[in-house]
Amino acid sequence: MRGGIGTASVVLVFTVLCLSIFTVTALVPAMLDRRMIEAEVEFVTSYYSADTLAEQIFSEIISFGFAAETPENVMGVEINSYWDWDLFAEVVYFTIPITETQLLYTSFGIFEDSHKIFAWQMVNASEWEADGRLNVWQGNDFFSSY
Amino acid sequence: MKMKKSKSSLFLMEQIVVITVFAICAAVCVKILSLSFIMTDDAVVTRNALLAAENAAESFKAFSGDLERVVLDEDDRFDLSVAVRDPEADVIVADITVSVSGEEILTLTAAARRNP
Repeated sequence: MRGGIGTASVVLVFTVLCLSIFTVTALVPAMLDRRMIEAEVEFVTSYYSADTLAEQIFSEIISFGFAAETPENVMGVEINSYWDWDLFAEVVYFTIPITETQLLYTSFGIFEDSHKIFAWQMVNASEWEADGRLNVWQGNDFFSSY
Repeated sequence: MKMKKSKSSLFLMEQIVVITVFAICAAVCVKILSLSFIMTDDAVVTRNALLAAENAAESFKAFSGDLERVVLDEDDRFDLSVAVRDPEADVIVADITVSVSGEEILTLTAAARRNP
C-alpha cells in the first residue's frame, strides 16, 4: 500500500480548501452584484420620483402665468425666483432631493408669452472639498527636518 | 498478522471518515454555489428590467405620455406594464411596473408634460 494512513486526510484538507476558495470566489461577486443592482434600482426610482415632482411643480408654476406672483412653496418644495431685466423674465429655480448627496436642480424662465427651461439636472448637495488631512511634504527643505 | 489487520481497519476507518467529511463539505459548497448562480441570474434579470423600465419612462416623457409610442422592451423573463394615473391632467403621471413571474420587482413613476 503506497499511500499510508493519513494521506487521504491530507488530500481531503486540500480538496476542501480548494472547494471553499471556489465557493467564496463565486459567492462574493454575486453578493456584490446584487448589492450594486439594489442600490441602482433605489437611485433610479428616487430620481424618477424627484423628476415627477419637479414636472408637477413646473406645470403648476407655469399655469400661474407671467403676471402672477411666484409662490414661495409648491407641494412642500421651496421655490426661489428673481426678476431678470436682461431676459425680461421671471427666473424660477428649485431643488428636489434625490439622495442624501444629490439633488435635482430645475431652473426656468417665465416670459410674457412663453417659458423656457434653463436647467434640469442633477447636482451635488454639498460643495466638493479637497481632502487635506494627509500630512504630505509641503515643499520645505527635506533635510531640515532631520 | 494481527498488526496488519489492525492497520487495515484503521485505514478503512480513515477512508470512511474522509468520504463522510468530503460529502458534507461538497454538499455545503454545491448549495452555496447554486445560491450564488441564482443571485447572479437575479441581478442580471433585475438589471435588464431596470433598463427596460428606464427606456419606457424616457419614451413616455419624450412622446408626451402617448402610450402607443412608449417603448416596451420584450423579454420572456419579466413583464412590463404602464398604468396612467390621470390621462386628462396637464402632467401625465404613469407607474411603470416590472414584475417577474407575478412578483413586482420595481416601479418607476414617470411624468410627461402634455405640451412640452
